[in-house]
Amino acid sequence: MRLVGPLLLLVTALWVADALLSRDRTVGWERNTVRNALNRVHTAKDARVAILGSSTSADWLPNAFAAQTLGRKAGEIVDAHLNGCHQPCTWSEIQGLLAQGRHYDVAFFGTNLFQQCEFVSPKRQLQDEMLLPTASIPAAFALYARAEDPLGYVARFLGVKLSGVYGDTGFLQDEWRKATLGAPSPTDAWRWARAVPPPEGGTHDCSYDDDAIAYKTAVTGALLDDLRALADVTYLMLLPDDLLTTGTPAQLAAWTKHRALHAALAEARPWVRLVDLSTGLPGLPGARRREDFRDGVHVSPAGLKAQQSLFTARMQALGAKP
Amino acid sequence: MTFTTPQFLLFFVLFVAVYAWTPRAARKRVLLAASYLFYGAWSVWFLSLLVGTTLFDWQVGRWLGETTDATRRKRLITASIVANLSVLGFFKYANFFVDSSTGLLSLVGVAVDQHVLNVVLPVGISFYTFQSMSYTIDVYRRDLPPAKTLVDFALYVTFFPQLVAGPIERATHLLPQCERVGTDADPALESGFVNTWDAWGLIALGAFKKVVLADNIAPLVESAYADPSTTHGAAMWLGTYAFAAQIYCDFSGYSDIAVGVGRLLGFDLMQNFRAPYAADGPSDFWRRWHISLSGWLRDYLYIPLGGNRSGEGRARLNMLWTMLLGGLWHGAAWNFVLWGAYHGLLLIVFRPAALERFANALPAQPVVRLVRRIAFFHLTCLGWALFRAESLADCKAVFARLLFLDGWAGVDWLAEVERSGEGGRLALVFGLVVGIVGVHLARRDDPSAAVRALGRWPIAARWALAAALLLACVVFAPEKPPPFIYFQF
Repeated sequence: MRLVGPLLLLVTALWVADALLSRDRTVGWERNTVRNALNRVHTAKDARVAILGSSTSADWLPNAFAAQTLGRKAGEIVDAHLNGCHQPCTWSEIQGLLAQGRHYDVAFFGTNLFQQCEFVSPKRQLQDEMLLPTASIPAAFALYARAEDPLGYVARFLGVKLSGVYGDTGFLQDEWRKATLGAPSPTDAWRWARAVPPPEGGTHDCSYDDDAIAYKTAVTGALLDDLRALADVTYLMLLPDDLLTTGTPAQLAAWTKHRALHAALAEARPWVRLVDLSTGLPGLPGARRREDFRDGVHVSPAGLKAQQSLFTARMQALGAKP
Repeated sequence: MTFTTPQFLLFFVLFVAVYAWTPRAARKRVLLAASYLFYGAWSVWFLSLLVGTTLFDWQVGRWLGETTDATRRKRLITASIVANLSVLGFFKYANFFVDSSTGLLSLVGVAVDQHVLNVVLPVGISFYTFQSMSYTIDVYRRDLPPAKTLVDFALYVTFFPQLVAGPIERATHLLPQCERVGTDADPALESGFVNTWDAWGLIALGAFKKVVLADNIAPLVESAYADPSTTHGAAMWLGTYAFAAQIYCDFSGYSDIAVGVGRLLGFDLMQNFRAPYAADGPSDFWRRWHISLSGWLRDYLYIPLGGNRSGEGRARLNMLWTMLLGGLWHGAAWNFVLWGAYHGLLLIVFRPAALERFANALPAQPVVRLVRRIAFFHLTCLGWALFRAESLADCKAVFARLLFLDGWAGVDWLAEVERSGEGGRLALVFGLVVGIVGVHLARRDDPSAAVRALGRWPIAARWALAAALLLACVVFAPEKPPPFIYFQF
C-alpha cells in the first residue's frame, strides 16, 4: 500500500500538469494536425483516389493536378497525407482506413531516402500511437520485432500512449525548451563559439544503419500488403532529394540501395507500380539540384515544375490515364 | 539499454513485477537472468564474454580456496590477472596499439601495411573486468573466502544496476549482499520495494542530473570542442567549464540511479562522488571523484607497486604510473594518457613537504581556503580539456585557445555572443556551473546532508519533488539524448 500512495501522487501531478497546460489552445498542435488530417479523409466519402504519406508526397501533387494526370474529377481525389507521416505512420493510417471499410481505386504513397532511416522523432511516435487502431497493436509489435531493438520501439509506443493521456510531451518539450533555454538563431548561433562558420551539412540526412533500414523496409512491405485491400492499384513513388546531386559517395550508394530495395518491394507485389522520380528521363531530369528544393527534400517552385513534368511522363508510361 | 531510456523503464517495470512475485528460493536466479538480459540487450556476443570472464574467475577463486601451496596460488592469481588484462587489452587497446605502432614506424620512415582489426569495444568491459579481478586478488590475499556458489559470484560480476558504468564494487562489500538474496536477511523481501523514498529520490535526482542538466549542456560543449582551432579563447573556457559540469552531472547522475535501483532491490552500493569540485588538491580530488576507481587503483596498483614505502622518489614514480594507467583505463587514446599523466604530475607537484608547509602557513581564513579550492577547480578544468579533446592535435589547439596564445579578444567575443542570440543560454549554463561548484563548496564536508534533510520533509512534499524532477526529465529531454559518457569506457 505504501507504494500506491507515491504512484497516486505522481499520477495526480501529471493530471494537474495536463489540466493546466491543455487550457492553452496551442498545446497539442501535433495531435490537432493528425485530427484535422483525419477529418479531411473521413469527410471525403466519395473519394476514389487517396494520396498518402508525408508532405513530400503531396505538396507537389495537388488534387487538381493529380485529377488531370489520372483523367478524373478533382472531387474524386482526397489528400490523405499527414505532416511528417513516414512509413509507420502511413501504415497506421491505412489500418484505420481499413477498419472503417474504406476502399479506393488508386492510392499513392511516396517515400524518400530520409524516411528510410529517420525514426526517433517524438512527433512521429505520437502519430503512430494516435492513428493505430487498438486491434492493430499486435501487428505493430510484430513489425517492431523486425528491428534490432524491438524493446525500444515497444517502450516508445507505450510511453507515447501515456503521453497521449497526459499531454503532448513532444510539443511541450519543444515549447518549454524554447521558453527556458531560448531558441538559437538558425543562421548566427555558431558565432558565440568560433571565428568561422562550421561546414554545411546535409539538411535531411541520417545514418543508414541496418536497424533503421530493416525496420522501415518491413513496414513499407506491410503497408504495401495492406494497400492491396485498401486500393485496386497502388503507386509507390520514389521521391528525390538534393543528395542526388550533392551527396557523398556513401549517400549515393545508399540511394542505389534504396532504389533496388523499393524496386524489389514493388516487383513482388503485382498491385504495386513503382514511380521512380529519383531518376530522370531523356530531356526530363526531374527535381534533383539543390535549387530544386527548399530544404533538401521539399520541392521549391523550380523543382515543382520539374517534378510534375517527370511525374506526368512516368504515369503516361505506366498507362495510368484511362 | 541505458537508465534514462524508455526501454529501461519498460525492462525495470516488467522485472519488478516478476521479481516481486518470485518465490524467495528463485530470486537470485531471476535477478541474475535479468542482469544477463540487461547486458544481452546490447549484444548477445559480448554477453558470452561476460559469462566467460565470470566462469574463469569463479574457477580460479575455487582453486585458490582449495590450495595452500604458495607457488600454485601465485600461478593461479597470475593466470587470472593475465587472462583478464588480455581480454581487456584485446578489446579495448588493440586498435590503439596498432595505430600508434604504425604511426611511430612511419615517423622513422618505415612504411607498414596497416591491418585494421576493427575491434568493437564491449560496453562496460573495463568496469566488470576490474570488479571480477578484484575478487580473485582478494581471495588470493585471503581477505575474502571464495564465493559459496557460482550464482552468487555471477550475480556479483553481473548485477545490472552497476554493471556497465560502476561503481566498481569490491567483493568484500557486494558479494555478501548477493549471497543473502532470497534469505531471511534479504532487505528487499520485507522492505525493499516499499521503503522506497531513499531509492526513488536518488533515481529522480540522478535522472534529472543526466537528462535535464548534462544532456542540455552537451550541445554547448560540442560546439566549443567541434573544431578547437577556430574556437574563440573565451568560448573555449566556457566550453571547458560546461564540460566540467556535464561530465559531473552525467557520471554522478548514472551513479545515483545505479545506487537508487540497487536500493530498490535491497542492495547498498558504494558512494562514487563526494563534492569533487570542492577539493583543495589532487589527493583530495581523487578521494571525491570516481571513488570506486581511485580506491581500486590505490589498493590493487599503487600499494602493490610499493606505494610510499620505498622513499619519496619511488612514491612519486608509483603515483605517475598509477595515474597513467588510470588515464589509459578511461580510453585507448593518447589524450587520456595525457590526462592521466597530468593528474600524476599534479599529485607529484602537490606532494612535497615544502608545498604542504606553504599551504599550512597560509592564513586559515575561509576566504583563503575558498580561493585555494577555486584555483584547484581550474586545474581540474585544464585536465578536463585534455579529457574532452578528441586527438593530440586537438589538445594542442584547445590549450592554445585556453592560454589565449592567439591573443585576447574578449570584447569582440561579447559582440559575437550578442550577434549569435545565444547570450541567455550561455549565461544559464555558466550560472549552472557556478551553482554546482557553489553547492560542492557549501556541502564539502557532508555532501549527503541535503538529501538527509529532504528525508525529513513531509512524505507528500518529498514525492511531489521526485515527481517534479521526473516530469522535468520528460519535458526537457533532448530529442536524441547522448549516451552516458562513461559507457564508452
